[in-house]
Amino acid sequence: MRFPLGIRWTLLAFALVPLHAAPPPSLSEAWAEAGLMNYDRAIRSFEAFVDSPDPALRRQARIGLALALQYRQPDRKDDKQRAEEIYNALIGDMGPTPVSPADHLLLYLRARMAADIDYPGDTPDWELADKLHRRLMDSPEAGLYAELAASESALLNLKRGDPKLSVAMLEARLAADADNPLAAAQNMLAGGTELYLLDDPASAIGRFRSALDAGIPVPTLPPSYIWGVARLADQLGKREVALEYYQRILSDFSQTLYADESLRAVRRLKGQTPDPQ
Amino acid sequence: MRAKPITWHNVRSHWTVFLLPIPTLALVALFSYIPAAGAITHSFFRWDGAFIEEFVGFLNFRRLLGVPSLWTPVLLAVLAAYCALLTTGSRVQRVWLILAAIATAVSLVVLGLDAWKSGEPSALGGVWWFGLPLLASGIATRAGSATARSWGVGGIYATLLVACIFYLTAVRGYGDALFWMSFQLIFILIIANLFKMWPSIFTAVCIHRLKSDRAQYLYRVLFVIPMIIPTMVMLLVWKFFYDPNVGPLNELLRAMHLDTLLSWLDSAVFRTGAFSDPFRPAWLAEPSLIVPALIFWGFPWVGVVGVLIYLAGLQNISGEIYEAAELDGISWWGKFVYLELPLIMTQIRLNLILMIIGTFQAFGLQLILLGPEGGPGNKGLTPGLYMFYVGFSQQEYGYACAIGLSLFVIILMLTIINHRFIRVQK
Amino acid sequence: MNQLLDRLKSWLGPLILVLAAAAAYAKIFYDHATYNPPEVATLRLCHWQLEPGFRESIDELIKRYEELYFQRTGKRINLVQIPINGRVYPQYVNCGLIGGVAPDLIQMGRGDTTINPSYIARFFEPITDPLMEPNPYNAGASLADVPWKQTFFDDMRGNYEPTLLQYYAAPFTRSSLRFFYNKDLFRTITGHDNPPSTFADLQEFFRKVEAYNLLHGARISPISGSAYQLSQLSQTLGLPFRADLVLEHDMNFDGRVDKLEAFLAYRKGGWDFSSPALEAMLRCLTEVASQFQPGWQAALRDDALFNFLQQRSVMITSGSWDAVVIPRLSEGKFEVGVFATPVPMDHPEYGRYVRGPRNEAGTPGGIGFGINARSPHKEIAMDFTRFCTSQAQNEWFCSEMGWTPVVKGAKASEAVIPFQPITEGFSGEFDMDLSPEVALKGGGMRVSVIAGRVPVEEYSSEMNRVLERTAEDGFERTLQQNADRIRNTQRLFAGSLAASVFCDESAPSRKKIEERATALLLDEHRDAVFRTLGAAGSPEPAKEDVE
Repeated sequence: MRFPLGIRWTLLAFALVPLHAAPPPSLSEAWAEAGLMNYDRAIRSFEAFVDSPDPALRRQARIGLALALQYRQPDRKDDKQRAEEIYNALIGDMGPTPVSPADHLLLYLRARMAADIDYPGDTPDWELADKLHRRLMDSPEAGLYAELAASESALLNLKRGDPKLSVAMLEARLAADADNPLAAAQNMLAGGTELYLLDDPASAIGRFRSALDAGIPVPTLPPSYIWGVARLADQLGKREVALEYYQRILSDFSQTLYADESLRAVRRLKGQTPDPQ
Repeated sequence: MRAKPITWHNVRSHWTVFLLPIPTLALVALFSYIPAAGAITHSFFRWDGAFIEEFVGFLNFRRLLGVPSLWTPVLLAVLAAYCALLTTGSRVQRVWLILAAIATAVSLVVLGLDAWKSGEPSALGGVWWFGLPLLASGIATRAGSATARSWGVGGIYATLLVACIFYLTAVRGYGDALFWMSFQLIFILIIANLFKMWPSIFTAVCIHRLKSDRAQYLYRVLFVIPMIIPTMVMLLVWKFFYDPNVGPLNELLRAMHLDTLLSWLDSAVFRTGAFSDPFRPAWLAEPSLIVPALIFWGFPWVGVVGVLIYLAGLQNISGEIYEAAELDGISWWGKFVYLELPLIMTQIRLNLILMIIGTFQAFGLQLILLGPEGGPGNKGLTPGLYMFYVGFSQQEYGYACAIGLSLFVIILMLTIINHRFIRVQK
Repeated sequence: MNQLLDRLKSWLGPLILVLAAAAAYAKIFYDHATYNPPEVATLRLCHWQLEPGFRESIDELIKRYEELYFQRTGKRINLVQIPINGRVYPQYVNCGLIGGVAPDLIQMGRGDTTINPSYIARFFEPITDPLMEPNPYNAGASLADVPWKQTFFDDMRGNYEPTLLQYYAAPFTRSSLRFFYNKDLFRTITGHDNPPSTFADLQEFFRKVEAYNLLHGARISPISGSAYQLSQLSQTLGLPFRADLVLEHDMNFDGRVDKLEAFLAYRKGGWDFSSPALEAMLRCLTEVASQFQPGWQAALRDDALFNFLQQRSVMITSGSWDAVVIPRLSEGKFEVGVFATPVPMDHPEYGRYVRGPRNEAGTPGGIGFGINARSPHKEIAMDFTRFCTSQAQNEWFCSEMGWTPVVKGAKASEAVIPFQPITEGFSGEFDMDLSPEVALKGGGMRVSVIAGRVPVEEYSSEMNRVLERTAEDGFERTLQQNADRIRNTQRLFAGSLAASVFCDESAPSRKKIEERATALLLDEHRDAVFRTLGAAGSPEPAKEDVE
């Protein structure tokens, strides 16, 4: 089949254009794409660096590639298995004690992968997740990662059906360092477990109060928890605590929907209005 | 003249001819076949249309069609019917029947395994209750006497009918009740549409019988012009017609003093409260009026496409046949019944198939007039509208694909029945 | 000559085709040259607000900003407004974002891509960091040194995306629902000027209208309604009936009961569709809807407004967005007043379920524009948003529109003073649509029930049947949706952690990481709790040891 000359040159031009059109990727662009959950583009960019002569860049690219494969959608078994292999190889190259933030990140991501169901038909490996969490918790430099690992471990116990152990783990962590970066979260997790699964609202009140004192970082949550403490204390007959927290709503969050109910409650508790019951 | 096979030499020397249909084929593949294949595939997935695509096997079909213990009797009876039909028909037809029987048998095995894995041993219950009569009927079809064979075949079809009734009764408790409820409206609309086909036929006959060619041309143009009005506009105009306060329909009923009659009928017979005083029936908001409103839509039901198709068929009738009939002293009605109607049966059959398919797929009319829920009481809910609701309101595209595939199978079966039992005497 | 004419006739069709194609190309090139000249940055802004005055006001804001930008930088920019009908807006935005051709600024709140956090995270640029800095367009005003976030009436609490822990759009206004009434007609019928302040007053008004109609042979309906107005009444009059249910079953104290909480409450017998409060709510709405004009079920929003403007009804419900529009449309015919929906707190039957009006304190600001993450002019888009939400511009815009401003210190026009949020009462946000079947069936039956065509008891028993059959499946499906959402949160969190390790310039702050970690852990905890409770049944209610 012979094509006219003009068509041949045109076809050739179309074939060559893509080779020159795409600019070379950079790792920061790859991370930006991963941040926007565009994992296909991120994977292509990371793959360009996995064989980089610079060991730091190589390691970074592999971690990025594994992360992108771990979270790429749709969730496919071969993606996740490839991510697992990369993580396992990198962890294998790591020393017995993780030292750098990259090491901690690696262990956290691998533990995450072990604990979750990553693709249809996957089964979680909670023992491996616990082992990796333990490594992070035992690492003196892990900081936030250690607390994350402890909290995730506690949640795994919850999923296993052992809420008491979950609370005990969190309690132990808070006892070791009550001011750790995730102290508020750990108190909220423990309090929530006690309230919903262990039927111990009195203890839950204490936990939520501790969380509020530690400072809940999520800005929309404090009014809910103050309101929660007030309501629980009111239901348990802890009048002083209930009054204190209802009044906090009125003083600090008077523009929220809890304010009117709080005012009624304060009046009732102070005896200014009869108890509706 | 027998067709010759195309050789590579033919292709090379006439490559432009073979290249010509490729763009069309590519577009048809891209916009019709590939999406259809994608929809069939995705019916086995939990799919949000964008990022989540998780294979769930038969889960969507279980949710839609109920548990396997409801399906097995129907599939068994269908398999038995295929086997009974194997003794008749041409070689090609028998090959298709064998393939269909194999597909049914494979489905039964897969369902059985799926049910076993899910811990549903009751799936096998249907095998005993329906398997025995089917086995007996099947043995009868192999008997020596013709009477026994007829009884056998009849037994298979009767068991199939009972299995279908059992399924349709039970599925509302175990499957998607709303989906099956929506078929009630479809069957009502199909029956209504059977009657609504006739005005187009009569119109085509009237145009065909005009003596003047110019007049025929004029009427053809007059009927074609409304085609340029988009369907959406027509629907919105009808929505205005049905408005209870300012719509012309209620004004017309009042002007013709039919409001008194309807109010009396409502209080004495219907007792719906739809025609109470003051007389402003809400045709699209009153649950009892929605179905009549959907049936009445499009009055006087002269479909342009239908008229043109029938007209084309009528114009193929040779003038000599009319002359011969007139010599025999045929009346104008006789001409219609004995000449024109039989000779346009092919077109009628085509339109019948298109009408059934169109009614099953219908959702645009209901969506515009009543909204995605099918109006008050979901009275206007059709399977197509329910599929739209599930896909675009609930973002469950996988389940919507399963609904679409089920609808496709139902329409295909009806088309096969239509093709087999409505024959045209050529 | 005849030959020429014949030739022309045979080529006429192709000639028309060629001319039409040429004209189309010419228009495209002209438009491209006008709107996308190479030296001018063109930004597109889409929305679905088609009410009178909005497009003109936005055009004026655009004009002011373009001049300001040119004065500041010497460069020209071109902002183009693209109004889209609300019905097709979701499809337009969804297709544009997924296809990568969406406008630079997109009104949020309609279409899955602007509501679902999974899509927002992918397609929109967070504005959290700029919100922490003062808005430069407030320079010289009292808010000059105040972080942009805190210049809003609620410190942007209502516009915080709790799953993604970011802000994505700054609001232009806030709205609330009220009754508009024809003062002249009201005075004629009742003999006084005081609109109903209690439910008893409202019932009395209904009786007076009936008496007036009998006496004068008139056909005036007390309220002008449609399904649209009914949905508004369901909020102002219906939600207060559910406040007690919310207080009782709100497990995480966020002031609302979502599907998961509602399912657990249903399973322990806390509610169903026959609950006295819910049936009372329907009866109350039926009673009020019986005062709508006949045939309201099929009427549209505009039909109801037309009915009110034609003085065939005395009242109509609407929002603050109509605070200026309705009086303008009725100018010269009658005077319009506004009052809040009276809730039946003192009613002998309904009063036991109603503790107060619907609390509007938590109502977020609306009409916010998200910035397309793929826009090549993100900085300009962000700057335009800052400009529009400065005190001066927000005050001007809202006074033009007759809307409630959202920036602190921006003066509200007289017309919107009655729309200041009600801060009494509680929330009634109780999500009863535990499954798609319940939602579909309920949506189909609700109007019929409230129109009095279907008895409340029949509706309740039918809905309970559907609930019984589908609630468990609905719960599983909601858990699955939650799991998908949590997985997306994990994705974003992993991305944040990785960025904090490897990307110095774009690394999120420590505080942000802790915030995301807390939110993720709480989300996962909640999921685990609901799965446990869903599998086992909920625990006994907390002991009440009242002194």
